Amino acid sequence: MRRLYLELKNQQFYYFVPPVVLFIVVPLAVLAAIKNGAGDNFPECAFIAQLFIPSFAAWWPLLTLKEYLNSPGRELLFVYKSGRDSLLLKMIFLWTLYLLHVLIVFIYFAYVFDYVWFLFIAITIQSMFMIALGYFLSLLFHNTFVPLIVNFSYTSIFVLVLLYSPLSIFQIGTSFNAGSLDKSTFVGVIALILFYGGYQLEKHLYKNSI
Amino acid sequence: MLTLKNLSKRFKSKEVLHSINLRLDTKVYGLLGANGAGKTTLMRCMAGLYEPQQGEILYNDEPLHKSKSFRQDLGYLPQAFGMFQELTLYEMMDYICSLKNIAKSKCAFEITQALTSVNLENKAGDRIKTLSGGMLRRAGIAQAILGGTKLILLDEPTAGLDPGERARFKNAVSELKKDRMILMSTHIVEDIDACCDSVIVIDSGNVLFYGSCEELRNIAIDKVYIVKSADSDSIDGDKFILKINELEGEIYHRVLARGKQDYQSEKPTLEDGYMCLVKGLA
Repeated sequence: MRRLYLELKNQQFYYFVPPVVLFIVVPLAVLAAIKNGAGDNFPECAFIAQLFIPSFAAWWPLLTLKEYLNSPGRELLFVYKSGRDSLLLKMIFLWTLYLLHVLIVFIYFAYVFDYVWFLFIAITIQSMFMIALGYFLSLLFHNTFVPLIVNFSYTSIFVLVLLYSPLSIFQIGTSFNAGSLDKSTFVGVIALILFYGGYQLEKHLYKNSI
Repeated sequence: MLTLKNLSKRFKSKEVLHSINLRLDTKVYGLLGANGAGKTTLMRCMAGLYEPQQGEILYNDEPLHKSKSFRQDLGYLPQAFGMFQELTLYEMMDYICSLKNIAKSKCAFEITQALTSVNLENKAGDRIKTLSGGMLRRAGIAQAILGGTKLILLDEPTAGLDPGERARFKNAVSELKKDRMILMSTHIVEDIDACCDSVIVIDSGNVLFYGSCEELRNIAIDKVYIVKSADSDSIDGDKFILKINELEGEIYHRVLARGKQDYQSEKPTLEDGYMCLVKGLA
């Protein structure tokens, strides 16, 4: 936890990007949607939440991985790092930290809308997918910039353009209930596969690439 | 303390280290070799970063991956050092303490002691990105000695430093050498002469020499000559011109030659001994 705190501190003002998005941009966008809309505003809220929340899930993980992949001191980090101390574990910690922030946003949503918790579960899994994709691609390309671009491009394309594509992890225009989580289960499985693939790259290939 | 047995390392089809055998104790060792000789690969194998294809490395008679004390005793300074640019020097040291599993209650003392050893105690609050190259190298040594490490590997620690910083660096190493095994890789012979008790010369992945500085120097006895440039061709047999100097309008060559010549031989330096070895004049 000490190391995670210092890694986040090293991000300086970039650390504050996800909280600004979660606590300022998303609530303001939802409020604007409520003000302008008529009738049931929940689909618009779900759209806004899925546009912003999963895409910023990989922000902290990718900036943390940057030290291990692109900094001049990465060799030293790998010499001192013990076998138990994996990057995968860091990804899971950061996902949990992000979800705690997202939870606060959803507590606010719960005051405004009914049935927000199925959306929360879907977004939790979408965020996990984005982190897993970032982790896997970072280790594959030994670079954190490419995964960041892939991350934002994927979200923009599949939320704004290809809404109903089978390649999309998002659930735009659907009502959120227990049945709507079928897609989330599938996305969760893909995320676990990406985590596993990334972990294998970390264990076998990355160390020898220094 | 650290034993290398028949160590070989290959990258795809290129063998970088060939059957290296060494035994290192509590001394300061200099690892000398040209660029691409295999110094960094050897250091990385010793640090446990690379797994060799053949042979093994033992720390206190235990293989590295099985040794419980190896990671705690190891201090490592890679060629490139400078992570966490936005953290202060103290915070970076705190991070390394945590990586080395040093108890939090001991960290403040360890960090202060390590920074004092390299005269950086007044820079503890400065951000890493504001430190000069020399300060960064000394910060690198400070992190390497955190937690009372007994085995310190320094990969080209003086590369890119100005003369003042190099002198400060060498003083820091001299103060730290008690009860420690320090291995310092470099291609600067002067640094070895100033700090090291023993020298390992490596060339194309093979150990050419392992012994004291005096022994390396002695290799060039009766092989060093200073002759006028015009007389340089009169040196018989295999030779190598090490230096060209101008003195009172006359050009002189410092020549290394295999056989006895008709000129008065000079007292050899460590560099003469090293060059005799790598040029096949030993």
